[in-house]
Amino acid sequence: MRRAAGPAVLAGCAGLGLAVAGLRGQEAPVRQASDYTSEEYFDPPNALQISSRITGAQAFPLPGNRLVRYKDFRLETYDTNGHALYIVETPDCVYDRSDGVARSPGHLKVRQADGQVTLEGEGFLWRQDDKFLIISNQVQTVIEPGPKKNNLIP
Amino acid sequence: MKYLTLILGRILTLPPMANRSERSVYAASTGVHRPSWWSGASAVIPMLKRAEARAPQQERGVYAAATDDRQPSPPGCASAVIWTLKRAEARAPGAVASCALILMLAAGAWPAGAQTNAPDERTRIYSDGPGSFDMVRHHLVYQDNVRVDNPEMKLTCAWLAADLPRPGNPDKHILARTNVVMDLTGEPGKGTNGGAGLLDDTHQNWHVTSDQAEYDFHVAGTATNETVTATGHAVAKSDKMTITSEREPLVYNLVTKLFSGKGYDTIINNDALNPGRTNAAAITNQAPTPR
Repeated sequence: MRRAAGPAVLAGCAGLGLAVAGLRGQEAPVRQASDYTSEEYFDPPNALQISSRITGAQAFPLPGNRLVRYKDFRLETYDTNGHALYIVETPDCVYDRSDGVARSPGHLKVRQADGQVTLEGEGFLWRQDDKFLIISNQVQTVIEPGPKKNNLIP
Repeated sequence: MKYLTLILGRILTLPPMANRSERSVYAASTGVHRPSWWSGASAVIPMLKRAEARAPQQERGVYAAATDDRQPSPPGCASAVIWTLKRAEARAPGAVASCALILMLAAGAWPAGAQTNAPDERTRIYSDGPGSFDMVRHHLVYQDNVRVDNPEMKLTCAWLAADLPRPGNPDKHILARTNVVMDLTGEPGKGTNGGAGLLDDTHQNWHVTSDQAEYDFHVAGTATNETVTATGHAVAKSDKMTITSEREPLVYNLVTKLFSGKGYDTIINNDALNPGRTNAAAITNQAPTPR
């Protein structure tokens, strides 16, 4: 997976006009940002397709320049045809830029983009590399008998 | 009249069983995918056929059958309908149309358009412990006090894995392990026998326990396959019978409401065959344990 470089990922950045590096391992300076967006792309031959997009109402760097705390964190994942697959939302989480892991003790909600599956729980850890999500407690899944909508991101 | 016929079919399949052995043996499957009595091989099935054959001729005067003192059916089944019918007859003898209406209402056969609450067909899965979700493979694993709640099935277990339906592909697969307990809901009117008959399986609610259970939902063309397969010390109980299988899978078809499998034992409650009698012993096909 390729992660988009700094300026490109900040297209939606408003307010303080600040830099949060999207590249993992690149120790670029992190400053507070609002309306944060970070995109990740598939490897070739689908290098032009977005694999996942992270958005947050606000992003706060934590001491050490490795951890970033997000408010209203939202993750969208896509397939290689550009169809949305899942939307992950949590009001608060911490993202570790060094290993691409997000975690939170708070509430998490995951929706399949066609509305057929919703998943909720308390506390989670999300690995960006293999798109693997671990929900700590009180996992609840609702599976609809059929899709509700056609892969439209609400 | 369809519903009358169905109800009458149930009523007329309850003659005294005094001339029958209380310990009749019903053979289990012999390599075919259902017990022999399901295919009409036992003495029960011809009796049912005769009863059902009589029913259309007795539509006008058949309500006398409903006054049989036996009260065979479990709550919510035919007995409630029969008593309603008796009261209706007492007030208005010969009011067949009214009785038919009562029967339709009692059987839940009122036109769907008149219903205000649509059934909730969603499947819910809960767990107290951690869940892991592979978002690439659309694969979820639940642990600790896992519960599945579906209109046709309730399940509890200690560990469960679910392959979620993918966009554009409704297929679903669920694997449950460790202390699996299921409650399967029967549905009148489904099944190969049209929902009638003494050993009507489609009306039965089943309580199933097993080491492992798999739920499969697969759409192939216009056909929908939806099954639950219980494996390992599988026991399925209803108020009429108990089916057990130590090793071979026991498959319940959620579309036809029928069990199938190989090499399982069936124990039929005598209460189901002869509801008017007390102290009825169970009949079983289970082979005696070698000494």
